Amino acid sequence: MAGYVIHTPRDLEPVAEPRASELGPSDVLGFGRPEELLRTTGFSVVTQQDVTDVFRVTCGAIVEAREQLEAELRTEMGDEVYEEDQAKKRRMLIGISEGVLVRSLVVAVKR
Amino acid sequence: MQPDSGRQDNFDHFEEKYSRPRSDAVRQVERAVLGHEIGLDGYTTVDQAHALCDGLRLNDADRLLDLGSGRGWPGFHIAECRSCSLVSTDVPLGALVQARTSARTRAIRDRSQFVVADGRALPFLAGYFHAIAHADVFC
Repeated sequence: MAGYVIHTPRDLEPVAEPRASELGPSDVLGFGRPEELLRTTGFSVVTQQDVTDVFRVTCGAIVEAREQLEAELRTEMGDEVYEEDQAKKRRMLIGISEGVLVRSLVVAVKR
Repeated sequence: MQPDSGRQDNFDHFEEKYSRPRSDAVRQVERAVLGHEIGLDGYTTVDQAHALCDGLRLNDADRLLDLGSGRGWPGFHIAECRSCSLVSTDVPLGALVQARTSARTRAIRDRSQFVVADGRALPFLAGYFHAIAHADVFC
């Protein structure tokens, strides 16, 4: 199994979890960290690579590109959807900069 | 398996999202940032899709499950790189309809299938797949 996961860092204090939940994807805390989930479902992690730096760049580039095409996107998607999507990505960027959100490439094999 | 109310809201959000037509401007954003034009809200670049190919050592006789595939990225890319068969699964039907339409113009058109399924209750026999790929599910 191989995939990309947005999750919270291993050393995140419990007091910071609401912040991660506020800024991250809806289920960022709902299921647990990837290595724990994989272990409980019978997988062993082969590789876990932090790709948060690329995630930050990609997320920022999406926000910028959408700003440059704002008029077209608002026309095609509607104001509400455009603003909601932009706000979601900006929250994600804040979560990355505050260190409560990370993204990893995780490769695992069935035990 | 019945989702709880919060999860149902999430499913509804994705159903609604994938029911919207993809606009030219959205395609431009995807091309400019990600280097491809399949996903809408994902963060997986072409280079990162290559890394998934490297992590999954598949051959042309193997079957790949793309879990939470959305419109097909990056499962299409992996299946094309590895010449393997692909089953894309997700909950929103609209996403899979669009994925199937995209697949018809790609190299994987004759070895791709699309199944509406919840990852917590997949309708496949254990051991049917040789590998599983996923990217930013529920993001």
